[in-house]
Amino acid sequence: MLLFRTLLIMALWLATALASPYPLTLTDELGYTLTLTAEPQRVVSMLPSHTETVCALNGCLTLVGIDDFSAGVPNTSGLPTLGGGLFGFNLEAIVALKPDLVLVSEFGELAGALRQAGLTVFAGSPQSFEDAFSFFEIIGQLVNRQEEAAQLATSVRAEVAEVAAAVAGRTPPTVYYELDATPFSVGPGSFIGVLIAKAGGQNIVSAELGDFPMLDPEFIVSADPEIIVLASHPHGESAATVAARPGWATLSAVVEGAIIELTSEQVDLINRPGPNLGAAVRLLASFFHPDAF
Amino acid sequence: MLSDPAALSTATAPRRLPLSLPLLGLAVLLAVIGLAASVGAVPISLREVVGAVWRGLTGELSGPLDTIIWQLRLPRVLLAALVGGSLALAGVAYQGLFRNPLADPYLLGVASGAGFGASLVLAFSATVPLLAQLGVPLVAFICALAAALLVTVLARQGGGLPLVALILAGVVVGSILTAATSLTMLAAREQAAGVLAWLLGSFAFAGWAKLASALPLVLVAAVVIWLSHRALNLLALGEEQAAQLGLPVEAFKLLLIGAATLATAAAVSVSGVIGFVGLMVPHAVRLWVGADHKRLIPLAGLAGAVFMVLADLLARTVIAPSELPVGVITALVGGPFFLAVLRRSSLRQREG
Amino acid sequence: MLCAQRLTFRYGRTPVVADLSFSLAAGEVLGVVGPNGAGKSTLIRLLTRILSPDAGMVTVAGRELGSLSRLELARIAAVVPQAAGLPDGFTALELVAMGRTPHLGWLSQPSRRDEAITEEAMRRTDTWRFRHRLAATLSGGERQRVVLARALAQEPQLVLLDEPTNHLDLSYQAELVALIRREAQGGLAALVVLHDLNLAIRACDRMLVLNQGRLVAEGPPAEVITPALLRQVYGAAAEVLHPPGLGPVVVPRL
Repeated sequence: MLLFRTLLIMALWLATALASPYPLTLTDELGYTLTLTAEPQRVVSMLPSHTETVCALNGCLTLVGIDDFSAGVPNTSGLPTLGGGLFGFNLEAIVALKPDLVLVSEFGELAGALRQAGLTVFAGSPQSFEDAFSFFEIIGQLVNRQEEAAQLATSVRAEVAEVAAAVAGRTPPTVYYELDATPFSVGPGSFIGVLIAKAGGQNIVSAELGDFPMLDPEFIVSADPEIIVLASHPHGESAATVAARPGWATLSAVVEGAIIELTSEQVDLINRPGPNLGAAVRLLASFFHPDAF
Repeated sequence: MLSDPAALSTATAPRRLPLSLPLLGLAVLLAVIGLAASVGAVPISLREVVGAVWRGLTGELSGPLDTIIWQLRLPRVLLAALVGGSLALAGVAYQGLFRNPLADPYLLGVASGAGFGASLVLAFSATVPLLAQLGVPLVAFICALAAALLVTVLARQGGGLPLVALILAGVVVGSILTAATSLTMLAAREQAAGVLAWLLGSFAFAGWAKLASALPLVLVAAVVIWLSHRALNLLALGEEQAAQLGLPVEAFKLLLIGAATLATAAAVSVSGVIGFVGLMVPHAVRLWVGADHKRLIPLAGLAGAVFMVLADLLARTVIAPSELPVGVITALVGGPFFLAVLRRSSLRQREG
Repeated sequence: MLCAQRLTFRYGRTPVVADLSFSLAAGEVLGVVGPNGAGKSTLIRLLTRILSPDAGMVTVAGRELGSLSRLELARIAAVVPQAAGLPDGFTALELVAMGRTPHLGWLSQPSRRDEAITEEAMRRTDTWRFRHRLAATLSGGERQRVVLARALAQEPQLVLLDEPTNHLDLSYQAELVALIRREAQGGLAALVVLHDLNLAIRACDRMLVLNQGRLVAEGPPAEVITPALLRQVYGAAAEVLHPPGLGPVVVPRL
């Protein structure tokens, strides 16, 4: 009796392990249900964070096309870029590639148009910190690399925890993160806001202002942040232009020279909730607590 | 507001308006400026405000609160007043020129020109350092003037500037530039929010420098418009009758367009495209004090200034310390205001 | 006072006013009649330099029209335009006062004398009593008198009236004609374009009959208005009656 039960359990376990996860049915963020009958061999990614995730899960070789903004992701050179910049998306080129799976964001009309063309589309994008991890899992499911996905999640969390540990106990400096010169900043609930907190910074923007508030400069001046991060630098703002703003010359950050001018690669890194968010947190922490990194 | 309908229907006596209305208006403006300087995202007591202004004037600023009042808030409030007055004056000029209360300062492409210039700088500063050096206000100003010039050149027919041709040319140039601005926003998508915010108008980074750059231009334009008050009255009779009364109509039109464009371009280049003020304020003031430009011009200028200071005050206090674009406030507040003015004037006409 | 010689104006190829010569003396009322399209309104525009003639010459007060500046011309000649739509928002007084503009510099203030002249013009046209009424509240006749007052306020030597009695009630028409004649007696030269023949006969000392831009007849109304002329110019069959003391009366035959 015992032997029979053991054999049965082993058989069941074996069956589960050997069982194919396909056909796979998932519902995406637009409420659409898609079915994959086999592991996708030809994947098109129309969002940089998806591209990064697919590559981080060792799926880079399955990519047959990416969007314009994904062009900087490592190991994707040579892939055709299918739009996303000035002239919209190149629908025909995407269809011509005969992809098994297309990863797009839920915004805009691309998802609907591709579905109408008969393609299998997953529409969704990570917007928040936790979203990034959920999407490791989702994409892992889609491309049949669940183990890699779990590992990725673990290692990224570990990286974040490592940074958090390094800054633990240190007084967080007050930070003003400038998205652009209007001025637009980030709230603590946004993805970047969470990164700032994890990196040991204290955002001068509080939660009730929302995720992307347009600030009154008076408020920034009176908050007198210790550090100013210029994500607006790639578009012309610099320590010099900030110091020239009326009333800003006497700010601590200006006087102390604590103005961080981000390059556009750094801006991209911080903007994308994806596999590199650990590096993003580390980057920010290196600005906020330079002596610890 | 006016009025006693009975007085109107007997009409042997002049309308009862306080004689020194412009003085009254000036007093109101100063009071409103004082109010706006005392209120803001950062709570500062009235005593500190007064002290800060005093210290600013004597050059002995000390501390962040002084900085906020003298470097940020006061110039911002004054710039709002300047821009509001400037747009209202330009509106009076255009409404007098086109003999149409629906005319506004943005008819001849100034706003779309400025918007396009600003979008160029905001979008391409990274790749074209020259744009960053020139800065948004200067490029916006140049593009605004260029657009108006283009419109005037396109509308020229037989040595004159027919009004219909001006309007059509304005529409054409305006649409082209608006499309170009949209294209620019698409090309630099991360900056789209910034361009949009600029287009909706803001006094966020006012500063004394911007004030000093806009002031002389607006003053010149204002003087020209004021001196044209009699000519504008004549123009209300129609171009033919105005000419028969001695007005050199074509030359005057050119002068007026030049002055109004200068005022509008100066305003828009430092504050973005704030709608409604140039359209509504002259119209409302005309309904109140009549069409005589001698009275209309100074009062519209003052009313525009007051209105803009209050609109900016609302924009930066309603969701403080976050801000709404000022153009949103002027549209939302101004719409119902205009309805009230309209209804009151049609009531008056029925009784009179 | 006013002398036109071989005045010609073409719109494209079509002559609207062709080879027109006439003169007008001070104190005289000259009527201009003719069917629609005869060129009457164009004539006034030519005389005030809104349009430039293709040929011919006009002298006003001894000076050639082309040599006068807009302002100088406005001090000599005033226009009472057709169906004057007055702008809202101005009072009658403000509108009449605009007539003083040619005599003011652009920068100077109206003087006591200006105000007196404005008042005088309004009293002579019986518009002073509603001087503070807004233009929008005036009747057609009142409006027309305001426009006439404005023309008089210009202190002109010559007044050009373009169908001033259109859309007016009978009593207003008579009033206006009487006004014009009274002013002429005071030395004003008046050229009046009129649509209504009978009114024209009563209004003017001499008459010009235009047809398709050409001068067809000229002279005192009694001489000029004959059934033959009416048939030729208007293509209408009409009787001309001569009741004693009234001057000719035109009665169209149905």
